[in-house]
Amino acid sequence: MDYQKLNLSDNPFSSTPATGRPVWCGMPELKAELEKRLTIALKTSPSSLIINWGHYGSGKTHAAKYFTSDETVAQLTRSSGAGGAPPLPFYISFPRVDRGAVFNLTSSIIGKFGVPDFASKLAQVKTTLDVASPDLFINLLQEYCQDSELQKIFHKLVTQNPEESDKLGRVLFGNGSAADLRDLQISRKPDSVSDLCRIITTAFNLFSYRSPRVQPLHTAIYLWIDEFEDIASLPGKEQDALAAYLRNLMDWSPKYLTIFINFTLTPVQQLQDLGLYLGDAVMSRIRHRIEFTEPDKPGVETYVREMLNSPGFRVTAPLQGQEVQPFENAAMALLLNGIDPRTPRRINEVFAFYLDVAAGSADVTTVTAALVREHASEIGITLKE
Amino acid sequence: MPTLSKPLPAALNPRRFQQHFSEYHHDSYTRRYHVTYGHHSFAISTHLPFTVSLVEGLNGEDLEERDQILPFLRLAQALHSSTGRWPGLDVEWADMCPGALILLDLSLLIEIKAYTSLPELLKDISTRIDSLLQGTKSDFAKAETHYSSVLKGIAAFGEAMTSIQREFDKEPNCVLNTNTKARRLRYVAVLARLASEGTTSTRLTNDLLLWATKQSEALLAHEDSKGAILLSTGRRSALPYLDLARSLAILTPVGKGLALTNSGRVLVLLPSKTDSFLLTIEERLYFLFEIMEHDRDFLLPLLMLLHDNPSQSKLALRREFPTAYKAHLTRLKEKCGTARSRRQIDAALQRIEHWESAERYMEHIVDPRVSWLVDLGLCSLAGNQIAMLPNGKSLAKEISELAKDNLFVITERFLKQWFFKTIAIRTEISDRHVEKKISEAAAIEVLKRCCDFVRDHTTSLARNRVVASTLFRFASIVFFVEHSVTMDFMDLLHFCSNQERMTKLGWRLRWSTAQNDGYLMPITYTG
Repeated sequence: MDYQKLNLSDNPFSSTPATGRPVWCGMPELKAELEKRLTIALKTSPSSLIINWGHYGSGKTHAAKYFTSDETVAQLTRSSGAGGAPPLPFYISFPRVDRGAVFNLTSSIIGKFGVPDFASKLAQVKTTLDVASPDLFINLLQEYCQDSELQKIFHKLVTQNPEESDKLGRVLFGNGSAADLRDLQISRKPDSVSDLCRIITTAFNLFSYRSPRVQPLHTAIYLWIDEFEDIASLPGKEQDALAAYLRNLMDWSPKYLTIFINFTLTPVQQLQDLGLYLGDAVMSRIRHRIEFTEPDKPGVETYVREMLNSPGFRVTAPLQGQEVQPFENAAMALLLNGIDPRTPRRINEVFAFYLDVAAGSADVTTVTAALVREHASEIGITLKE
Repeated sequence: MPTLSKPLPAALNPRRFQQHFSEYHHDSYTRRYHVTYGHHSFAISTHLPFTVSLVEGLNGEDLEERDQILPFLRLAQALHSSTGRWPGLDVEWADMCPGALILLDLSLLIEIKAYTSLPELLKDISTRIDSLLQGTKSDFAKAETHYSSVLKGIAAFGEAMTSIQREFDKEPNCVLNTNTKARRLRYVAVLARLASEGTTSTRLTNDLLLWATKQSEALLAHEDSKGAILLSTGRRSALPYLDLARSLAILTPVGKGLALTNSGRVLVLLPSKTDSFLLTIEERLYFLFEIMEHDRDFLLPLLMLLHDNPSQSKLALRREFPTAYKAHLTRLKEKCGTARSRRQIDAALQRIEHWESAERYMEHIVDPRVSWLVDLGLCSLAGNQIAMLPNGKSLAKEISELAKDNLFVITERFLKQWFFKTIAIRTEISDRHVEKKISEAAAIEVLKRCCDFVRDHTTSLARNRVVASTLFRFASIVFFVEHSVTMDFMDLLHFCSNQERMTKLGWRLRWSTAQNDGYLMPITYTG
């Protein structure tokens, strides 16, 4: 496709969350609200559970990916003035499994690093704690972990013995054999919801531990769980286990952990929303609810303008007043009236379509109102003149 | 309701010339005569201004082939070529059950003064139609573009019929396996209220037991006092009702507990009596919908038997039921669209062959349903003697006639499309006039109240949000009971899919085809 004639190097609108470094365009209020929550998490200690909700394609996944990217997290830390080590962000896609959802979720968290790096981080924490007090690591482990067998796993991890790394990995990911347990001198597999949650919360607590003599490895932990509405597709037992896991995460990591849960509003499996799956215990722990609303018309225009001019897409800077080039003003007006729903996904679909039509048509260098009208039915928009 | 104009002059009144038509029918609701003259069918207005339309009935079969539609398009284009004007083309299906009509206005072919009588006029029109169609065998492209919105209506009808077929083939033998003790629908309504906040089955049955104990005298005062939940039997006697509520999809398991479904939530929103076993009209409409959806193949043969003999003993009904059920399944078999659904009907038919001592066994099928009919106000019971009430007779008559014509398969989609237009008008109106249409402004006003009511009486993770299926089921009952208008679920979905109307309403619908449900939220943006 020839996008050059449209003063673009490529089509900037993709209908699904893009790979690579995500860019935020438009919707400044939503961005500000999310930044506010993340900044508060940096500056205060209580853990919190935040619900993000919106229609399909309203940008929840994109927001999760954007705010868990290392660049965004680093930038946010700088701009917040909170100082200290950067937060540790996790983006977790909801486990789509028939059973073992909790195991899957735990594996996704540890899997962000891999066992050697996970162990290395814990060893780093231990080194810092040992400097402050030789018994501090053991004491904290007892406080956070409680179960002696789980404590053994952490002791094994911080020794960072390369020969034990694979065995520990198998045990942590639920594939440990009797021989692995014997070799590691661990009496039982960590396979209950409590065990798995203890492992994760112990790690989170250690990563974010601070005292006058100890600087934390990470100022805060951000955990975004995407597509949580899929909980409806799990069997009843799994739903309960997952709700218990979430509740325990909050209770056992009472400080410096912020959990964001993304979900769409559409009723699923005959139920009004996932509140019933979460249960009262988790519902009562929800601190904030952030709505991913549809932008108004000026908001859509801002979004489109920023998308078209996002870094790396313009061949040459457009003239002042022509920032939505190659879309003519009349074409923009028609599209702004016709798009429904005004979700980023739908906006991307429509604008990507017209850019492709223009790029693929000979002698077309601008998207005119006539071109919009001609192809409106193909993309399924009803134009209001 | 439009004001009636003058009746047709005698020379144009089809009633006078019935002998000239191979078919003649007067539809008082649409105010049309339907006549077949030669090989064409016409719809003629009963009052002035005189209009004649060419009519074809559609039943949803072979719509993709468009064999029935193309002559209309060809004729319309031919009329346009000769007169420079497009004739009116209309498709009526949403108000009809269970078919559609395509109507082409033939006013452009009429010169009334030239004729002395209606048959003469129809003869001339028929000749001209045949002549126009012969000359324009393949020319309909312009008409197809011109009537694109009408054709969408045909596509929508086709889609509805396909959905009904798909639902039927998915569950061709639709019956509830209920305990014979689950007799009183009031207990189910109370269960729904008790389950409003989500709970466990033990707690629910204990709470129901408590309620039942307090209301034991009210049950004794009820026309049919069977199905009591007794303190002496403990929560065990409440379990059949819990099973019935789950079978009717009022409750559903969530984790280790139970919660109200979006449909069950409607029951909680409806006016109710908590100290009587008599159901309110709203509850009757709700339960009849659910029972028809989930127990179609036991309920309908039962109604047909009661149509044939409106006053009979339970014993006689039990005796006759296997034969009626078998006949019903045999009729359904002809409707099967897949080998799988045919196999399932065959299996059900074979099971009937093995029913031994049917009279005793039928007690488990017939008796609970008779009790439900009593609660629904469709029949009365004196000892073991059943007597159909006028509303019940009316419904049974309609069901039997549809069965005779081999027309119906009642599925969820069917009920969402036509429940109020075909079922509720038989069971709940005796002295009221019911409208199929309502002005847009009035509809918006009622819907707005319903949106607010549902929002204020339901809780959701997201504030200000109303589940679409809950709203549509609730609002359709409100429209019918309070405003005597038949606005079915699908009418409301269609109504709310219009962006301009929703802007006036102040709510926005977001529908997910994949979930077959959606939600509404107040419009917060002004763009």
